[in-house]
Amino acid sequence: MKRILKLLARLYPLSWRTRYGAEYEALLEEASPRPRDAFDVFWGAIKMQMTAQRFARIVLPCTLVGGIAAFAISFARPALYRSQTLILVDTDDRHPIGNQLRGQVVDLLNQPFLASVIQQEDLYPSERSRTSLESVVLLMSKNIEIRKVQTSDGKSASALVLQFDYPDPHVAQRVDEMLASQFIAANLRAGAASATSEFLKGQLLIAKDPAIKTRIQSQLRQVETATSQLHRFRVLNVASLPKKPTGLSRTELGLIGLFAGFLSGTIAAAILDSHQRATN
Amino acid sequence: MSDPSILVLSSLAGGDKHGYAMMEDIERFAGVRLGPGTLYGAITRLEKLGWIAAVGSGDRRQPYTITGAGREHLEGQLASLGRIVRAGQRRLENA
Repeated sequence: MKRILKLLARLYPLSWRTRYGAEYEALLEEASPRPRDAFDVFWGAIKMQMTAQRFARIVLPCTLVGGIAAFAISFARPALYRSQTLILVDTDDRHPIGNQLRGQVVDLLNQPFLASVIQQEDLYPSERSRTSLESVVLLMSKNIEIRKVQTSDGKSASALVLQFDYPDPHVAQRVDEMLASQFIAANLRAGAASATSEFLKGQLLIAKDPAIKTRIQSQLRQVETATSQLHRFRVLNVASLPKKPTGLSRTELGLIGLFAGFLSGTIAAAILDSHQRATN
Repeated sequence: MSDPSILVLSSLAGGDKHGYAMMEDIERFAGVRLGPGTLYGAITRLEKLGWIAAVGSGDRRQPYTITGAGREHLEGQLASLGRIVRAGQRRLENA
């Protein structure tokens, strides 16, 4: 800890260290350090830097550059609106939402379906003019997320959230509705397996050859296992119309940029100070 | 009452001290532990204002003394605080 405090003490301006450096180090050696002293020394260095001449020449410009860069990034980066659909899953403890969900997600994100949505809703017009439809489909799939909703006690999920991010909130809502419909339809198609099960049971009753009977029984077991793992999905909350964009706001991003610029300026000033001290 | 400047001046009013001795003294009489950064921030400020001064020492541990102007400032601050304390106590008693 003492070593960390001594390192942090190097962040003080050179003029200050010339006057107080030796006695400050003596104090750091003598005192029993506490973890919060690290922040105290760091903050003390920042405050001293602000009163030093270098502050106006290095730290202030760095802070401004950081702030301006962050604002520029916030303008260049399109704001994305997130629409969400909450889907309730009727499930039992023996078969929590699991592997079969992945299959349905793959089904939802299949290229022909997404390509048809892109064309129908005229999504990503500028990207489509620049790149292939496959790349745009890939971009769209990155803006889709399906996640399980965990209960507060950490038990298995009983609901899913299907979300879609897009620069236009109304389009985000419409597309999210389409995705939710496709997701539920994919599960219903899988439900056709239960009809197969009924057919195989009928065949088992009329089959006479033991070898054929064994094969039918084996197929029936496989189909019944698949059928028992099916979930019934119900849309609990329809696709929401997002009011605010996702992620950091312009102000938040600007403040982060200002702070990052200030911090790098302070460190740069401290490095320049050390360099100057070494050459003197 | 945890203004580091008043705490440092109060500590030096009891005799010359170096940084670590001030830190210990302040913890004893005020129950406040000043971090190294806060303590030296106050020392730097007070020395610039001429309210404390470094006294000769052959050691790395630099002792400081309170100056006449520092004593005057401390007296003014403590008198003002005393008035606030007395007024607060009177009001609490009458409430």
